[in-house]
Amino acid sequence: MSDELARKLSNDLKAELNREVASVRMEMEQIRDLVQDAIVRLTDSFGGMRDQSNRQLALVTTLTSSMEGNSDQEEAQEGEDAVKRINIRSFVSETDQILRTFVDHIILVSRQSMEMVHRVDELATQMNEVSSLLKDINAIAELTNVLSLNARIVAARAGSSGAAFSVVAGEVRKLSKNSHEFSDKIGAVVGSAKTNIHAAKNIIEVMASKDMSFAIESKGRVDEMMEEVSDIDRYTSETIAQVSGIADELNQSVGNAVMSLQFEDMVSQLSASMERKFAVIEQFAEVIGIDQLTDESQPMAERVEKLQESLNMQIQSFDEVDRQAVQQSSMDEGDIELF
Amino acid sequence: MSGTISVTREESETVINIKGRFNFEMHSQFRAAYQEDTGGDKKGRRFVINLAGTEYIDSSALGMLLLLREEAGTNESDIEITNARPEIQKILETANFQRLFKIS
Repeated sequence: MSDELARKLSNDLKAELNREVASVRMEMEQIRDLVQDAIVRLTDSFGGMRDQSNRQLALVTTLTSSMEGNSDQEEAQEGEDAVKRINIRSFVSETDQILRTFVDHIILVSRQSMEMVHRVDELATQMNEVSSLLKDINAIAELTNVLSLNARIVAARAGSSGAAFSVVAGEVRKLSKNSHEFSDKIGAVVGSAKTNIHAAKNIIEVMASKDMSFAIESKGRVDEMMEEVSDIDRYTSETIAQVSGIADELNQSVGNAVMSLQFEDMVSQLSASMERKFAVIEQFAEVIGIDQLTDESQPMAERVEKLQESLNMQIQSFDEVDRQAVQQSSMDEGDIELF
Repeated sequence: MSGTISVTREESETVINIKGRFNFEMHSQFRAAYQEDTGGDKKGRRFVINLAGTEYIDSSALGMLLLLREEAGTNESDIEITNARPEIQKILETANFQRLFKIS
């Protein structure tokens, strides 16, 4: 009767041990699944982070290369809309070029105007020469007039024989008068030509005389703008360098994180090892039965010795499983694969 | 209110001193100052435009300087512009005159 009770108790003990081991094993499996699931998601999410950071860096780099000088523009010319990007530096240098052209043009106009003024001055001198020539003509006319007067007097003294000569003298006098009138008319034309020349000179003066301070001021402003653009460029490239530095660090961190997530292998290994240990523990229940101790058909010393033997075997097989686990985990520690 | 021009002639050099405002009104005086030393067999003569007393120049003065350069033989001409005050120096630079004249 007591034998039967002992066997039942022994079976109950085994059953309870198995139940508890099964419960722990289930939770262990849950942990393993949770961890593996989390690792997969974290790995995905870190990979996404790295891609996003790379895209961000690429975007910032394109944005700034569009603002920089010609070397980048040449590269950009392969894409169609890349050519039309805003380029502040070339805009400013274009403005500078336009200003230069404008200044050159003004100076050219002034140069031509000054040459024209020299010609007009020569024209004025020539007009003065015409005026003095007219005086000579008038002097001749005056002389002719006097001559005709003398001729008339001589003709009058000659009486009837001089009548015809008197007519000629009258014609000569008329001629002198006409030539005087004629030279007066020329004089009037020359006078109005001089007035026109004066007016022309005034117009040329306006054309030639431009205050140059506008050019200086505009040039100063363009130079300032150039300076500012250089400042912006400098600042931009500094910022880009920082952004790219941060992206590198981010990549590094993500790499570290992903690398750390490779403990998944260890989790699997550990859970496999735990699995094996559970098997050993389950075996424990088989090997060490309470009924063996209570079996009175055997001598006590023999029962204890047998039990001791079983315990030794149990210890041995558990230690063996444990050693395998230790070996594996220590080997893997130095053998983490890099992505 | 315009400037005055005085000329000093040495054997191979003509110095033209300009005082006051160097503008359109100075054109006859300026031309007269160099005309007898340019043209024909006179090439190779050195000109010094001394702006020590010059208070102001406008674009017509720049035009006159360019004409002097042409009449003195364009690229063979030897013209030095000296003693310009900073504002005038700036105008000369903006006009790119440093490529055509010696500015000191």
